[in-house]
Amino acid sequence: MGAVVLLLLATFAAALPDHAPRTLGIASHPPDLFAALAVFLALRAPGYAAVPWAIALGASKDALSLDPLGSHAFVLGTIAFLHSRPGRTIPVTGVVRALALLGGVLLAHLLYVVRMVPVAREGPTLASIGAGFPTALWTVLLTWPLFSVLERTRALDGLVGRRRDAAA
Amino acid sequence: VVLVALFALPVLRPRGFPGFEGWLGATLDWPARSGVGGPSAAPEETPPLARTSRERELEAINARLREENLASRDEASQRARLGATLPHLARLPRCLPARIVRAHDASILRRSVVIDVGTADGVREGLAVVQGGVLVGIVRQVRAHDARVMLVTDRASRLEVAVRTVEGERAVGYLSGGGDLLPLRHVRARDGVVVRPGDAVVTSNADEYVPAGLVVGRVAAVSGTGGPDAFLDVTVGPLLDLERSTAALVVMPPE
Repeated sequence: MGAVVLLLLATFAAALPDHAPRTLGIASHPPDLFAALAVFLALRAPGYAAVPWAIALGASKDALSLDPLGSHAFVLGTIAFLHSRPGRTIPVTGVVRALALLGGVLLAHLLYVVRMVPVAREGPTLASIGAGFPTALWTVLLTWPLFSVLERTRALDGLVGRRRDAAA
Repeated sequence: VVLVALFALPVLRPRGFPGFEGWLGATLDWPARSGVGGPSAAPEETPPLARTSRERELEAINARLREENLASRDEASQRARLGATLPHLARLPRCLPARIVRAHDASILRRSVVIDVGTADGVREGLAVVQGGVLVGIVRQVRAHDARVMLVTDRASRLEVAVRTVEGERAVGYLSGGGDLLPLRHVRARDGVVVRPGDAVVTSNADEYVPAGLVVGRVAAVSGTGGPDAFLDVTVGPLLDLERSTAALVVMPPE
């Protein structure tokens, strides 16, 4: 069930940049649902179970981009690893989750920019680093309702080894 | 260990790498290829309540035919504009009509689109994709039924182009992608060549798959005016406009 939901969300994430509204420049910096899902899974997981799924999300993003396979897989895997806490009994929710998402998506962008240095011919620029801020902001604001629903339904909890009847 | 392996993966690119990536991308792009959620999706009309199933069926057929008619006229117009842009060619290159099914790259720093033709239609890596006489980009990843096109504005894009001055002179340089305004470096201003804002920037003849003369953009600014044989740094405003149409043409290699 959780894997099917994640696949549907990945398909939605792939279509998101094409459908982001122009209002307030959202279309220029569309929400990064792949990174947000990776962080969200890590915040729900009681251990490191979110890392493989984050890598799978990253591989999906690589397949939808000109970047070679492994670029985003590494980034999202690392972000999930950094956000995972062994022995976490209560998942992170609410405003703390939003702040963790903001930091996670921003860190994912910075890591991606740095990660592309050995692959891309040109180095990181201030503009490429700065592009991460609006992306992180829109990601947190626009995915808030989605993650609230996912928290309530616990649709992805089975993926990360959290029992669906456990405390949210 | 897995994360370290992933870090090395893009550099090592082991066997089966493009195949798996292509399969994954094709799976996730499947809805767009099937016409669901693509950039061309028009808002649906709200049907009136009392309407028979036959009327709805006829309306659907009418809408489809209207869409096909528009696409056909768009394609004909693009072919005509391409012909007008390349008058020096004895025969217009064979062109494959394509539809843009994804208008954005999943990565925020890259610029690419997905078109609905692939290896099954004869598309291969390196072919030019145009809208009329304007170069959109170069095919970079090809799958069976779709292909990803790197736009001329992508940061990894490098093109040898020529600036056509109003006097009819030609100055060659290398255009790099990476933004809304593209840097064209090391344009050699030979004696008598004056590059001005507004001059056309067209493809040169460095690539066998990209016909010379396709419009890339217009000169937005020039710096480094010097004496004879000086090198100029030119800023180019690209002319590709993906919002104008989702139709494109793939310039096929000669048979």
